[in-house]
Amino acid sequence: MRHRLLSTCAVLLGLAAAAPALLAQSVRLHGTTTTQYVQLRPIQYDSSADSGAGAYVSLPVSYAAPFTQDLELSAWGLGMTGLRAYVLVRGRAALGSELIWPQSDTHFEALDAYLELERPQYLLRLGRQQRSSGLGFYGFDGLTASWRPLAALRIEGYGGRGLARASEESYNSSAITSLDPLRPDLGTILLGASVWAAPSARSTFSAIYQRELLSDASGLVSERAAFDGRVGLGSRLILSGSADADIARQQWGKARISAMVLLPRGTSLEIEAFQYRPTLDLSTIWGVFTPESHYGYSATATVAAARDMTFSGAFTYRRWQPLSSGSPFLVDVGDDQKEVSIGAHARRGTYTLDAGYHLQLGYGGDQSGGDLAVAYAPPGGWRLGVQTTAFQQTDMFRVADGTVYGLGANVKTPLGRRLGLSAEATRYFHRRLTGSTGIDWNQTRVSVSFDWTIGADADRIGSYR
Amino acid sequence: MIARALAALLALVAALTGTPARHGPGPAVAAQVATDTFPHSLHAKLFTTCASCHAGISTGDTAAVWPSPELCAGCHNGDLARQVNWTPRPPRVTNLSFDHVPHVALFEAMDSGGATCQRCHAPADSLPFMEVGRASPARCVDCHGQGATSHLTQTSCEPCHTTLHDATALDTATIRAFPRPPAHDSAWVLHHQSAAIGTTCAVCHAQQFCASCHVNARMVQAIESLPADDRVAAMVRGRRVTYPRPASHLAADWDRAHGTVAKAGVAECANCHAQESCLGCHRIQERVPTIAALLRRTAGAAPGVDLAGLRPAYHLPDMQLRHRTLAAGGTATCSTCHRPSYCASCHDAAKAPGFHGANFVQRHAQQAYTAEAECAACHQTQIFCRDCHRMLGRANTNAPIGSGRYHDKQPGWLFGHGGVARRSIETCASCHAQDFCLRCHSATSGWHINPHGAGFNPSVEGKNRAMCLVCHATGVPTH
Repeated sequence: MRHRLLSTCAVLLGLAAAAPALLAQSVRLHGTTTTQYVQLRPIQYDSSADSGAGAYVSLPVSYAAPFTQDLELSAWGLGMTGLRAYVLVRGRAALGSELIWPQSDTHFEALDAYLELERPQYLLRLGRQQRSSGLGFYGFDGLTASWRPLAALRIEGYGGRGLARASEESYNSSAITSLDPLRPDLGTILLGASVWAAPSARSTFSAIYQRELLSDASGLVSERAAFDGRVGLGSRLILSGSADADIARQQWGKARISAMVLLPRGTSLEIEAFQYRPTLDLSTIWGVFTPESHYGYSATATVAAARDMTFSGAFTYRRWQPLSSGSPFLVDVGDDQKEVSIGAHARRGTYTLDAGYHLQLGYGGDQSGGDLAVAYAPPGGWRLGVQTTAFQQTDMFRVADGTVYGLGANVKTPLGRRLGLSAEATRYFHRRLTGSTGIDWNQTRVSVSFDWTIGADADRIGSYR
Repeated sequence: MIARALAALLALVAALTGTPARHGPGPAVAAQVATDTFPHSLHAKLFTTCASCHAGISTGDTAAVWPSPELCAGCHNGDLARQVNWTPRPPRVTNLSFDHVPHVALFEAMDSGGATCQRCHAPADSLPFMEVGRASPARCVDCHGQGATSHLTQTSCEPCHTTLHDATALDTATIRAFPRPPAHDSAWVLHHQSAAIGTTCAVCHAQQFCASCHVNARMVQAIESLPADDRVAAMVRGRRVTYPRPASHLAADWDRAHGTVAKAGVAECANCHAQESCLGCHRIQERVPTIAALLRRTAGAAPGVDLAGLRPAYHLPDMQLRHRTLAAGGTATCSTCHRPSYCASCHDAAKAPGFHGANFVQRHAQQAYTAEAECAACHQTQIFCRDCHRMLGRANTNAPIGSGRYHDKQPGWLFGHGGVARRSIETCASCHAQDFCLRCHSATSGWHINPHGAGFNPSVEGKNRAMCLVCHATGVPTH
């Protein structure tokens, strides 16, 4: 009952944010309608299969047809300079499908719904909003206050009712608690502060601290901080680094440092070293399972061989700690991973060609695959293309080997400045390796998306696409 | 079928590798410079003067400019010579403001050898009599050149050509085919302002042509002084304008520096920019007076530079994957140009094919194992991942625990999974709920297997006591 009340409050908050649109001098409504047709082949455990030993078997090909409607409303000219209302909501449905695509049963979501007052030196934002930072994406229903004493310095504070990470659901919503009965039946409170500075055109720094508590303050969900920096030295060298710290667990999470050299005519070289450790909420048991980190390095080169012709190549190496258990029960898992990718992009007049190949050896499996796409893309946003893909993988933890070929086409048609239609269809063909068993991947995928805008045109329409 | 495919492939290769068509004069111009088809030299011994056939040239008698058909038929009657059917040409449709009479009078006064007509109609003075054809503009330049080396390098067109406004007989095809002077190269647009004086521009251009680029056309005197022309209006209707970037805009710090320039005055900016150009970034126009000083985009007028999709200098090619450092500044930085829905188009998208490559659903397992892209940054694993895995039977653990039926590549999976799980525990959560693990890993039930790895610190990691009690219901150990 309490959850329903909170959800209702969130929706009412959104409607309250939308209500000023009726009074606004300028209103713009932007919508994106997306329909997909996705064939998939479920699997099911059959205790009688494999001569009675039991095994997973493939079921007949089925399909999901998710329908998504995004609506975005901006309203300004509300009688106060810098005041605007902004709402981004999403509706979902499953169109007669036999399978439910993820979240298709979440029929309504308010991604953003806030009133915003922006003045030269400060910004206030009240309502549902998303916070993107070095910590990732966090949503909350609350207030953000931003102070900008200098053009290149901003200090922010924010807080409110927390939403589950990367979702629009509170932690105590039925959508989450029904999936995980061990989740505490409590919402969360999210509090944070950040500072951002850009001392030069090519240098930015930011730091953020964030704390998330159970709504009754009985426990800590997460306490994190992150630092991001980017420094341009001269016109050719960019150094950047980032790190996030899990303060609650007193350990570093992800960290990376890189140097990029920009050479003339669009050629660049970048080397990077990184560490990865997942950040897991204290409100789950996963964190106490002692997740291990891995480190690695990568090098990426982009060469502009000629005008409108670019080649790129990258190599990445990752290494994990040796399996602590030294288990004899795991076969050929290994402790490292190598990854190579090459790509090419060419444009000649109104034709473009994109090609890429990617090879990954470990961890979790090996993959080798390439993509090729050719498109006719005249000025004005039209695009008509075909794409092919070939892909082979072997899995370390599951027998799912095989080669998949894909062939498809895509079209994008801007029907004027305010209308756009895009569609894509791909057919995949699966050929198993000799003697291999596993899941059949022969399938067809189609998506159609319709984008439209009505109302005032003060901002640029193109930024939607 | 194969032949068709090969043809299509060849067409594609040709399109990708072929050289673009060379720009040249249009068909109408080609017709104008074509050699005169009348074989003058074959008639040189028959006619001793040009006036024999073109008597009206020197007198201004338009009826006598061309020979009569009867004169030709005197010989070309089918008996003496092959029969020809010829009629005098109609008056030429042109924008030349040329009068033969004073030219003939002038040349006759200058010439002693009777080469009056050859001065213009022969490619060179030294050629024999009647080696003539249509007059070449190059010969005009000999006298009217004002220092120009060729016809199209003239700095002034008026001596020979009328303005477009006065050349009412020209059709749009002819106007469209006007030759482009060499000075009108790719950089011309950037510095044509200094040359846009006098009436020379009006020979080829009308007001609407300039207004198809200039947002502020009605505020520019040089444009306002040009006559309007319906033919040009029709030609430029729907014209797709490409605005070149001035040298100042190519500077690495232009994104930042342009504000200072704009504050000094937007008169020059207003040539190419409407308010909408700026509003793509400066979304609160009320507080930027320099933007308010620009004109708004209006239907039918020049659109102005469209900055939609323009990438700032710091948006490097790998921006899609490496924008974290910039985005870490908070939404205010990105929202200068992007709306929340733009971020959501990848991070919370109905579909994100631009971010995830083709066939990603099948490929994504390894990316998840290696955390190549942190799935949890965009996906709520307990909702998104498990929703799909459960739907497809991957998270449905009907198989007996310990049988390794799903993880069937590892015969001893149950006993070895701990090390793997610690490396990518998020992938476990994409199929298994927490209580699944507690069947074995609990201090109060199951097999009492301790899941805490080396380095586990209960005083640090036990800050959420309620979670400790999930397994340690009888009391949380302190060590």
